[in-house]
Amino acid sequence: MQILLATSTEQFHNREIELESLRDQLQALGASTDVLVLPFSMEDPHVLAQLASYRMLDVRHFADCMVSLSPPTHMLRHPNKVLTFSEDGPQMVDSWDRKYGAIETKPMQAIRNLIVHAEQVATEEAALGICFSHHVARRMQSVVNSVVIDATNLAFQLVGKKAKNPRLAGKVVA
Amino acid sequence: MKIFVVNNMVPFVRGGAEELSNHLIQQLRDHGHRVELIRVPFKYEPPEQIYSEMLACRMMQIEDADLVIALKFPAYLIPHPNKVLWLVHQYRQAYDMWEAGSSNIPSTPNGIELKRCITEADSDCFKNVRRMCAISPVIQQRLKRFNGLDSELLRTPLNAPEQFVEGEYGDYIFCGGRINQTKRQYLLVEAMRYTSSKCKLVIAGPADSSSDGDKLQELVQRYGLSDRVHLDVGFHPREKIASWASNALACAYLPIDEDSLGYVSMEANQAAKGVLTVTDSGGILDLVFHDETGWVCEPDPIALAAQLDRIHEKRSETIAMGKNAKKRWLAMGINWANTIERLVA
Repeated sequence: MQILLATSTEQFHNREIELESLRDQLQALGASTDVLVLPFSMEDPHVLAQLASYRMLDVRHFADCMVSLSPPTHMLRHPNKVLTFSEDGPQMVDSWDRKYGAIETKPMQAIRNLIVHAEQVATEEAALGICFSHHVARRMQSVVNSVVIDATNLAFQLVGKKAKNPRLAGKVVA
Repeated sequence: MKIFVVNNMVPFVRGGAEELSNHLIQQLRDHGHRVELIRVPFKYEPPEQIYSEMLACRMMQIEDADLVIALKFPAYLIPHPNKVLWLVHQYRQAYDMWEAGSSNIPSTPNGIELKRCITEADSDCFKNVRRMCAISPVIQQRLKRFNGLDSELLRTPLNAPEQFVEGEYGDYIFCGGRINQTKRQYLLVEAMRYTSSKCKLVIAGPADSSSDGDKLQELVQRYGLSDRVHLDVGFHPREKIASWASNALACAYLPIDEDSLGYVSMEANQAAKGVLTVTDSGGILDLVFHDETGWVCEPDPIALAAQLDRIHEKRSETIAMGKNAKKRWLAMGINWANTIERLVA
């Protein structure tokens, strides 16, 4: 099984160790992995163009499964796309709100609306959402079929094997 | 300094460019820089997809970087005001390979338009970089000819050179690297049947396809060379490759028109081994000078056999050639310290 792990520079610093750990676990479980890292800047004039650029890349035939580990890699297209939603701001619009939420001009509102719409489309087309908290899962369950798991069991979930600790193995919430 | 290294990738395929970017990052970090790697997926079939890939790269933004070092098309199109290009690859199918009739871009009006767009995007990007370096003279010449641009030569250094040492000078000639038709290991096997001495040959490396490995094995069997030719097809740990090279009498490398000096020949020289190569091997000839640092002959089994015999029979001359090769190689100053200094200057 080939699994493509996708991440962006937006949250790469915070998740580099997590990514390496996941990669190692997947390989130990027999999966082949590769990692793509795309640049991203939250500077407002460029956000929408960057989201479009992610949609324009074609990764559909490169792997059996693509896992988005940080926004906005969930914008990438893949027939077996798995999204992961961390505890702190599962979507890009959360980052937008943290940075620009107080600026209520019409252009900024228009950009925000487009981000929300783009995320809705990209999320709905995913095969699965993996949430690391029930709070996030409740928020996502109307958009994508989701499971809640402990982050340490992500690799087991992705390769469809039984986790070492069944209590944390993954519970379907939607 | 915060630096982004920008490369593209075909997922699950790894080659010299991936190795180069990994070592570049490590070396930059060792020199005290904060470094991140960007890996943009690249799919060049169908060719029309290349429009989207180029446009996508031009729409991306790199935030909070003091310097961007870009290596390959189309990832080098990602904009940044302080970008250094260390060019490993343009999209050759729009340039020399187009002329040679070996491009995936069709000779149709649509294909010609795509080729024009690639050339224009390249030229536009190259004009705006702070510094333009190329890894080989061949790439420099291509840039000059097709894009009208001058560039600095900045060759790729050898990775982990400390692993390649002057060993025992055994009784075999070592040929490492990927095994395929363009690396022409088969020519060495054919040459072995014409040798009059008892020289031995070791060929070791990953085959690009199973048929590449099988063909070589079949040749060894057909010519009854099993006792003198050792084939070890597969991906070997670097330590094992280094040991083979370090303890060889000499090394051989016969690629067809290679752009660069070739890791195989650089590793050989680092291990104080002369290199046997042929007249159409391209960039290798910037390192191998006949009767000084190795042996250069026609790409012909009988001519190669004569050189293999000479390497084996004139052992002290062969060892002296290897020592001289190392001396000249080190004098070229192609190492990571100098490379990093030039890239971040």
